Amino acid sequence: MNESSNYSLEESRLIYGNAGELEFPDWSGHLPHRSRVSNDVWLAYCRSNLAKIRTRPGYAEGRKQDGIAAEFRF
Amino acid sequence: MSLFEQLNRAAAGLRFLVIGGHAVIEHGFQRGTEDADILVSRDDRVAWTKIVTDLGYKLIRDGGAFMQFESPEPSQWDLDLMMVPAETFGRLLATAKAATLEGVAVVVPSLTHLLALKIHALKHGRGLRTLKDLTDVAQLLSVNRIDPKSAWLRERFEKHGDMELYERVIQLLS
Repeated sequence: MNESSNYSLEESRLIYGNAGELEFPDWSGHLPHRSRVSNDVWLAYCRSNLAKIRTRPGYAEGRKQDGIAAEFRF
Repeated sequence: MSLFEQLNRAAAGLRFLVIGGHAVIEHGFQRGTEDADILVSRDDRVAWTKIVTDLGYKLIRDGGAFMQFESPEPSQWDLDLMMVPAETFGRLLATAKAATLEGVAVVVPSLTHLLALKIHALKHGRGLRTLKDLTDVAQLLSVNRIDPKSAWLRERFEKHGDMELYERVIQLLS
């Protein structure tokens, strides 16, 4: 389970109390509400993973998909 | 030092908007990001290329309306530059939201403009990127309590995307 999922679980427990019989979902990082973790803490966490992420097979290929060639206009 | 602080110092009066994952996070959907994306005026293309390469970044792809740079440091964001016509840039900047990212004052597009950029990316993107953009649009609408069936959102899809994409978002949120 990733760290963001832990945040979600902790937040669920804060909302619902210590209801040990309940199964909380793994949101896999997709929070259905604003997180209580600050953006700076979250971005520091993302940045701490950068070196490791760049060694991942397919990272360079995946990055090539990021660019949008079509120009955006208003 | 934060990349955004380096850019603020080096920009010398040139303006940029932080877009991509950082802007999505600033607008309430806290998801993972692996790079930084900034939007600049197309008229400043040469100046920005110099600024970024002077910071040690290496140009790895020039796609016309965007450029991708590789960070000189393993723990620093890679950087993507998106370029738009000066008129479009001015309109985005006029309604931009002030934000603090990694302790640095920056500006991000308004939520409605960020959604328009994301819809544009959805229409023209490829590969797994489209899944990320689709999730961003749906989650930004959800977390900001925006009715996905509102007329203005439909208009954004008509202008920057298409109705098939609109229906996919509606399905995700229904």
